[in-house]
Parts: sequence; structure tokens; C-alpha cells
Amino acid sequence: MAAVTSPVHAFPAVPGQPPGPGRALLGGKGAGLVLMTGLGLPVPPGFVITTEAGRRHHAGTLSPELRAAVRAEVDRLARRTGRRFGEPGSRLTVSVRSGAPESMPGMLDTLLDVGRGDGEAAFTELHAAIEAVLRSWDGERAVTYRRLRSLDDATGTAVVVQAMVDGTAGGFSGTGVLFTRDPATGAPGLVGEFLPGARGPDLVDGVRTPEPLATLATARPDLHDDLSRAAERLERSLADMCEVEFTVERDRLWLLQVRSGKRTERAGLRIAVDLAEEGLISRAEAARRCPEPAGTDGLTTIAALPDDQTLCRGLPGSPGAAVGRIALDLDAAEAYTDRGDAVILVRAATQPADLPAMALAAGVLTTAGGTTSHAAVVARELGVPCVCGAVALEIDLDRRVVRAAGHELAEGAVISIDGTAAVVAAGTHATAADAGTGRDLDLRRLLAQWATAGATTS
Amino acid sequence: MRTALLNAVVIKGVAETAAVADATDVAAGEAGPVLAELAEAGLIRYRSGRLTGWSPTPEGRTELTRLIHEECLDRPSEDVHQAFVTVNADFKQLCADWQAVRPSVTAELTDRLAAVHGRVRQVVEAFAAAQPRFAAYGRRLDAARERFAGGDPDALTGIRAGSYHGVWMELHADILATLERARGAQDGA
Repeated sequence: MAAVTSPVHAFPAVPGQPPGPGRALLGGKGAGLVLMTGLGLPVPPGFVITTEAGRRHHAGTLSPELRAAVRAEVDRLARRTGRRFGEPGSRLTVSVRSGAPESMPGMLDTLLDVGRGDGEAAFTELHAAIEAVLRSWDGERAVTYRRLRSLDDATGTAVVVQAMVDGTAGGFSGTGVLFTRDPATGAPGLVGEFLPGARGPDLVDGVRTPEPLATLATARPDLHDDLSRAAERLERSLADMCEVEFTVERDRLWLLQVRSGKRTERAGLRIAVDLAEEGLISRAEAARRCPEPAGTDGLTTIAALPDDQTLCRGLPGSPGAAVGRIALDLDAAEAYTDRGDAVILVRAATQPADLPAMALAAGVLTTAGGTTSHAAVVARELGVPCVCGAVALEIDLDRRVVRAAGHELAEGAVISIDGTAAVVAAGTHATAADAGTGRDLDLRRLLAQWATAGATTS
Repeated sequence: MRTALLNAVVIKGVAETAAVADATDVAAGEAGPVLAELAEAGLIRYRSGRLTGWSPTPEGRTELTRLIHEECLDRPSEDVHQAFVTVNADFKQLCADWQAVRPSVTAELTDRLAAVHGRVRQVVEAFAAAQPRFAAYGRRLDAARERFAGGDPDALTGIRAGSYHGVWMELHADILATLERARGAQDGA
């Protein structure tokens, strides 16, 4: 890397401009925008203030040098768009967004429609907006986020300044977000949502309900086709499933952000295999992207039960299955576990005083409370299976028995619980590793073969 | 202080002297002799199995119920209890959401925690105005929140002593006991 880098980087590139300096300097958002303009995709023009320049200004006052550089870029942006900054008539306004090298969604400030004032007032507004974004790096929630994710405080954020496109402009306008493959299942094909007559923040505030992307495919197949083509190019370039934010302004599509899409573990398997089959990544790379999940061995399930063997049903408090003797309190839990017997702690609702017994138990069963009950929160934390809210189960602490479905079981009797299926059965029911669906298992086997093949050929 | 210490032992189920003292804002050196007296009176006992610490006896539980009833302590208005019931539901949903995404904390989650914290502090202050021992919950919740903000992911729902959810559970049980309420459906589980 050059010893001295320009504090700003324009996109699309101007003639003679050096290539994009990469994610560390441009931030994730800026690097994505530079990539998309390089692919010839429709991106509103703008420029990135690099993380390096940002670090020199994180206290929040821009130096005269940076102000001059920003002014030069804004002038160029105005020429490119044929509009004017800080002047009425064909007014240019910009969005000012953060962009750290590591994604910190929603943690840093974003300001839209900056530059509504006349003349110098618009520049004052722009400087203040850039300063606000830089200062948000040291805001409480951003600091908390980085500490929890073990992210470096020192990287700082880049700032993306971009000509505003307006999803509320009238005509056919709106804003949306899409995944290039289904983030839940990994199935091919665009999945996403679109909110007509709206801007980006409207999509996440939950006040209005967006339409599924399929609605856009029906209403405007031309725009949907443009999105499909862009999605394919982005997947090829990034060699991964992508999440893309876009806006339509008076019939015209603009792409505002691209990043690797978040996905479930299941979807990750299918996407890795499909990308390899499509030739976007190697088989060894696909295997590398899907390490064996740490929890697979621990998570168990009991076989499907005929109704007549079901003691009661409840709510899924904490996943996995367990078999053990009924213990109605701490003393019983301690007595049975001292003998080496596993116990299922059975309580109406768990109180803090039950925490020591929960720590001894192989499973927890409650008759009150739902999936957010204290019992369920603690069981998930302990990694102990839990069925909660089994309202049909009666606990008789005087006679030390439980009753359900016409059965009466004394304390010490063996029961089986499945915290995923939320079912309770009398007696011992075999538990088996929950390896997911058959198809997931097939994909895992295939990836394991690819991992071995990759290791022997390389 | 005797009632407060017995109350803390009943709420915690099993607890060492230091934990009981911390929960009641009493110095450990002062709490020790009083806990010994309570044990002498047969109201608590020291467990020495795999789980060690002070535990209430059945007589201790009965005595605490009687003391709470007889001492006729000041109680905050029903509105305060209702405020707790509402914020309790929001907090437990927040815990479940956090457990689903951890350690990827979101801005939305930290904002929700800040809002929940502000609301529960008001509840704690209203109880503390009636019964000063409740102030300890405010201090303990503040400390857990600071640890979470300081980057300790276990400080929110973790099972170690003093996590936000752990302190919250004790506060919940204490509120129900103080108001002499059996745990009903509207109180949450």
C-alpha cells in the first residue's frame, strides 16, 4: 500500500484514478459500492472518506484539508449529476453513511437528504453530517457492540457520501432489500421485500409492511429482471450469496449496498454445495465454509411418539432431549444425582431458588410459562433440554406425584422429555442425535468427502 | 436486617454468606453472626453436599411468610406492580432474542435493554422508597448492565451469580413475596 493515500475515493472512478484501496480503507459499504460501479451496475455516484482520514477526525472536527477535498468531490458530483449543491432549482442532496471494515449494522449514524440549505449553509450541513457519523464510532452502543464482538476499536469508520436517490419521489418509486438465494433454506432464486413509496429506514422501522419481491416481479418484470441480472453478477464477483439494498426512483433502479448475506446453518450447506456445482467456488472452499457444527453431537431428540405414550405436551423451552427421574425439588434432585441417576426437575415455574437444582438436572419441565419464561432462559443458558408450559400436568407436592392424561407418576419415576418437539413421555425413550433432515445429512456427507479430497490433493 | 437476610436466603435457595450479604447491602462481617443466629433458631441450615451454602428450612419459609405479613411493611401502589409485570414480559422477550442471536448484539437490542433498564429502575426505586433493602437490586442491575456494556456477553442472561437475568429473577420473586402474591398467570413465569 502507498505510504500516503488520498483521503477520498470517488466512484465511479474518474480517469487516472488509482484502483480502489480495499476494504480496510474504504469500509465494507464503500468497498461494495466501488465494486458495483466497477461491474457497471447502477449505483448513485459519490465518494468515500477513507477510514484513515476518519481516524484523524474521530473527535469530530474536519481539518481544512479534508474540507477542501470534500468540496472538490461535491463539485465533481454536482457536475456528474447535472445538479447543484446548495443552490435552489436542480438541487443536489446527498446521503452521508458510515462504513466500517467490519459490518456493524445499525450501530453508526446515517443521515439522508443532506444539503437542503442555500449556498455555504449546505456545506456547513454536510460537514456536520460527516462529523456526526465519525463521532458515532465512539457512541455507547457502537462501543458495546465492538466489545461484544471483539472488534478493534482502532479501525474507525469510513464515510460514504452519495448522491441521494429518493424512493418517495413519485411515479414508480420505493425501496427494498433482497437476498440472492433464500437465507433460510439456501434455495436458488431471489428472496426479498419491497416497500413502494418509501426510503431505506422505512423498511426496518416496522410501521409499514413491505411486499414480497414476487409482487415486484408481477408489477414490474423489467425491474425484477434488472435485479436478477445484477444479483448474478454480484454472486460471481463475490463468490457468495449476497444481500443487496436497492431503491427505485421514478422507474429507475439504483443499488445502494451489497454484502455477504446472513444465512441459517442449513442454508449455508446448500449454498456452499450449489456454488461449487455452479463453478463459483472450488469443492475444497465449499467444505471449508461449512465446518461441523459444534452442537451437533449434543443435541438429541426422542423418536416420534404414538399419542398413547405421550404424557403431555408443552412449549419448546430449550432444545434437545433428556431422560431422567422426576425430581420435584432441590433435595430430591441432589439425592438422585448423588446416586448417579439423571433427573428431570419438574416445577410449576422456576424461581431463582431452583437454579441450583436446574444446574444438576438433565432436563427441566415446567407447568407454567412460555418460551420466554425464566426457566426457559436459564435452561438455554445451561444447554439443558426444557419443556415449559405443560399446563395439562398437575404437580401434587403433598403426595409427591405428578398426574397427566390419566397417569399418575411418583417422584423418582423415569420420564423422557424433548425440548424441541415439546413433548413428555413416561418411561425411557431412546434419544438420538438430531442430524437435521435427510437432505441436510446428504449435503454434510458430500462436503465431508470434498474436504477429504481437498486435503489429499493439496 | 434479620428479616432481610432470611428473605435473601429463601429467594436464593442456596447461597454463601458473601452472596447473601451482597444481595442485602449488609457487610459480610455483620451478616455472618446473624445467619448463624437464624441457623440456631432452625430457620436456615448450612448445606454441605455438592451444593454448599445457606438454605431455608420449611420452618424458615413459614416464618418469613409470617414476618412479611406481620411487619405490615409499606408497599408501593398496584400501579408499580403492573409496571413491573409489563417490563418483565419485555425483558424476557429481550433475553430470548439475545440468546437467538448472541453474540451478534444489534443496535435494536442495546436500545431495548436501555429502555427496559430505565423502566425497571423506576420500579426498583418505588419499592426502595417503601422498603430500602430493594435499593440493592438497582445497584446489582446497574453493575450487570455495565459488565454487559463492557463486553462480557454472559452478563445479560448468564448463569453465573450477578447476571442481569439472575438479579432480575430474584427481584421478581422478592416483589411477589413482598406483595404476598402467589405467582399468577399475569405475573409471568
